[in-house]
Order: sequence, then structure tokens, then C-alpha cells
Amino acid sequence: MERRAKQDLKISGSASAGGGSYNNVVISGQGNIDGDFDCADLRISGASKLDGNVEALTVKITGTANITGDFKVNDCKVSGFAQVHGNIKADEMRIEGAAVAGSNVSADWLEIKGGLKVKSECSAENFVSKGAFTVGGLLNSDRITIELYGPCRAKEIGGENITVRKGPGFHFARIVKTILSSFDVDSGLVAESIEGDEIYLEETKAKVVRGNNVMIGEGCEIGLVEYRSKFEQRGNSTVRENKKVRR
Amino acid sequence: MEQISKKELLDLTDISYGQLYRWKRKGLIPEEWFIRKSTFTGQETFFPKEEILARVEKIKNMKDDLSLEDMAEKFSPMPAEVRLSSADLVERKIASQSVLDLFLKGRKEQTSFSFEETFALYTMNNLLQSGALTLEEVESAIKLLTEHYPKSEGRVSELIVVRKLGVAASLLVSTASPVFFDETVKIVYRANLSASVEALKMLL
Repeated sequence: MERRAKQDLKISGSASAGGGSYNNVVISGQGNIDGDFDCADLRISGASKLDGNVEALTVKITGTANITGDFKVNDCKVSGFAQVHGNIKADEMRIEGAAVAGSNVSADWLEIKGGLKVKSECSAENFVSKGAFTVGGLLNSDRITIELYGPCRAKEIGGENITVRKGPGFHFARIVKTILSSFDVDSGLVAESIEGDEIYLEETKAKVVRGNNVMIGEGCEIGLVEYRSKFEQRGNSTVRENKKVRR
Repeated sequence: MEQISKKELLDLTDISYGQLYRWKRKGLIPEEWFIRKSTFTGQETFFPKEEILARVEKIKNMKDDLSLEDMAEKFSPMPAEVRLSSADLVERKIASQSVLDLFLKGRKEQTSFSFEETFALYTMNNLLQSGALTLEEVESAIKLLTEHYPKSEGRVSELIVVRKLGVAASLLVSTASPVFFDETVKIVYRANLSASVEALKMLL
């Protein structure tokens, strides 16, 4: 078959297109794409439903995107809203708006300034959050840096370096939250277990923290700390039990 | 199957949490090996002892020469765009010519083999060499393996052939689940498939 240059696709009114292989795709109205598709560059500023698996080199979502399959991308920025029912796999992903993943997320670089919700596992070489997130399973990353501005939840957290600090607006956010809603006032990090080599925590609730060097800062409630080399506790935090494990 | 807690594993092998989580992320340690159990301090993770210790040892030995991605490929249960010719198979001692002939009996003539087929041939060779099974029993075990192993995506880890009152049956069993047989059942062959996939890859 003769190879042709890939076509661009532009949807600016209300329209549907079929899947396939495209060059640049721009959706600014109400656009649907039915079936798996791949493209070089994808920009969504309208409302879109992408029914199938989506693969792209660069993606910018300023509107809303609903992807029913898996989403694979090199470089992705979400400042609108993205809902992905399958897995998300990215080299770099920045979320300034909100994103929901119905399965797993894996990325080299994952940065959250808005909110992210992941149903199962979230893994990244670098995980940076300055927003809010919920991870239903394990949050697994070499370097986890969390600045707390809103509620952060993960069932388990594991990695090498784990740092959790409250952000500059943390107390203000808490007051607003307390006024606005009477439930779920924990605007810090809540996890069942946190395991890493170097751990620093503030405003964190966890049943177990295990690590090599563990430092518990202000506002923490920890059930058990198991450490190998060093344990330190500061400020008004509570640690019910701490144990040194032999190395 | 004996299990080992994460804490014991770290002590015994002298690896860090960071390494363990990195290896998990890169697919060097299969998800099925992380067995979560509820204890009085909350959740604890256990591993199948023999498998995880062997795996960690291998990773430690290889990690100076290979990238994590290359290692993941080596450990992956159904990998690699591999095609081998019949001459390759015999030359690399994956299967003997007679095993190859047996395998091809009743199939279309073919001269190149995918990884899945190569694995079936390799296992067939092992089964026949063990001398514990009849030809028919080997054929039915291989049929089971080719039909179900590739689809299981690494969840299945053992091939067991049993005999009761002279009648044989073959089973594929997953990693984390022990199997029990009544006392009149005799296990005639038992092979760890993940280990044999790794062994096979070393021959490629």
C-alpha cells in the first residue's frame, strides 16, 4: 500500500471522526473520536470524548477530555479536566487542572498542581505534588516530594526519598475547608504505610512508617515507626511506638 | 511454599526499600510475588522465599552490566520478539532433533519458531529427558502449556503432572496458591516455569 503523509484533524463545531493515525489533532468544539487513534500533537480546548485507546507525542488539554481506553503520551499537560478509564503511561505529565485514572498511572516525571485521582497503582521516577491526590493502591516512586495544600491520600507509599511538607497556604486551606465542609477535615497526607530510605514527614497520618532515616516533623500521627539508622521526632507530633530494627 | 516478610528480605539480602520499590516499578519483581497480609501492626508484605531470594541475587549480579530495562526483558514471562530456526534450536541445545520432529508431528511444516513455541519445545525436551512420563502424557502437558501459559501473563508459575491409578493429568498452578492432592495421587513431574523461562533466555 502506498504510504501517505498523515492528515491533520480539526474539530471546531460539533462533530465526530473515526480513529486512525493523524498528524496534528485540534478539538475546540464538541468533538468525538470513535476508535483507537494515534497522533503527533493533540490539543483539546473544547469538550471531547475519545472512545478507544489514545497514543500521542504531545498533548495539551485545556478543555475536558474523556478517554475510554488507555492513554499513552510522551509529554502531557492537563490544565482542564481529563478522565481516562484505562491506564495512563507518560514520560512527562503535568496536571494543573484535574485528572482521573480508572486504572494505573506510570510516568517518568509526574507533577501535580491541581488534583489527581488514581484507582490502583501510581508509579513514577519522580513524583511532585503541590496539590491534592488520591491513590487507591501503591504510590511508588524514587523521589516523592509532596507539598501539602489539600488532602492527599494513598493506601501505601514506597520509594527511596520521601519528603512531605506543608505548603505555605496549608493552614489557610484548612480553615477554609473546615468552614466549607464538616467532614473530611484532614487536609494533610493519610496513608496506611509509608516505606522508604530517607523519610521526612509533616502533617501526616499513617499506621506504619518504615525507613532507614526517619524524621517525623510537625502535626503527624503515626502508629509505629520502624527505623534502621536514625529516628527523630519534632514539634507537636505523636508517635505511639518506635522500634530500631537491626541492620 | 515458604514465605519471607519484607523486613527479613531486606535484612537477608542487604537491599534498601528504594531498590525494592524501584525493581518492582521496573517489572523486575512480579506483582504476584507481593503477598499482602493483615497483621496487628496493619499490612505486611510477604514474598515466596525461594523465588524472591533467587531473583534478588540475580539482579545484584547483573546490575553492573545491564540496565534495569534490559533485566526486565530477561525476567519477563513472555517476552521478546524472538524467532529461531530449527537449526538454532538444535544447536543451542534447546530441543533435540527428535523432540523437534515430535513437536511438528500433526502440525504444519514450519522452519522458524516464536518464543512461545520455543518455550514449549524447551519444556517438551525437559519433560522427555526426565524419563518420568510417557510420550502421550508429554504431549497432553505441552498442549495444556501452549494453550494457557502465554495467556496467563506470568501468573501461572508451575507445571505439575500427577498420576492416580495409572492415569495422568497435567496442571498449571499460579505462584501464590498452594495445591494439595489426596494421598493416592503421585506427583510425577513438577517444574517452575518462571525459572525455566529464565533458563531458556540464557540459551538465546
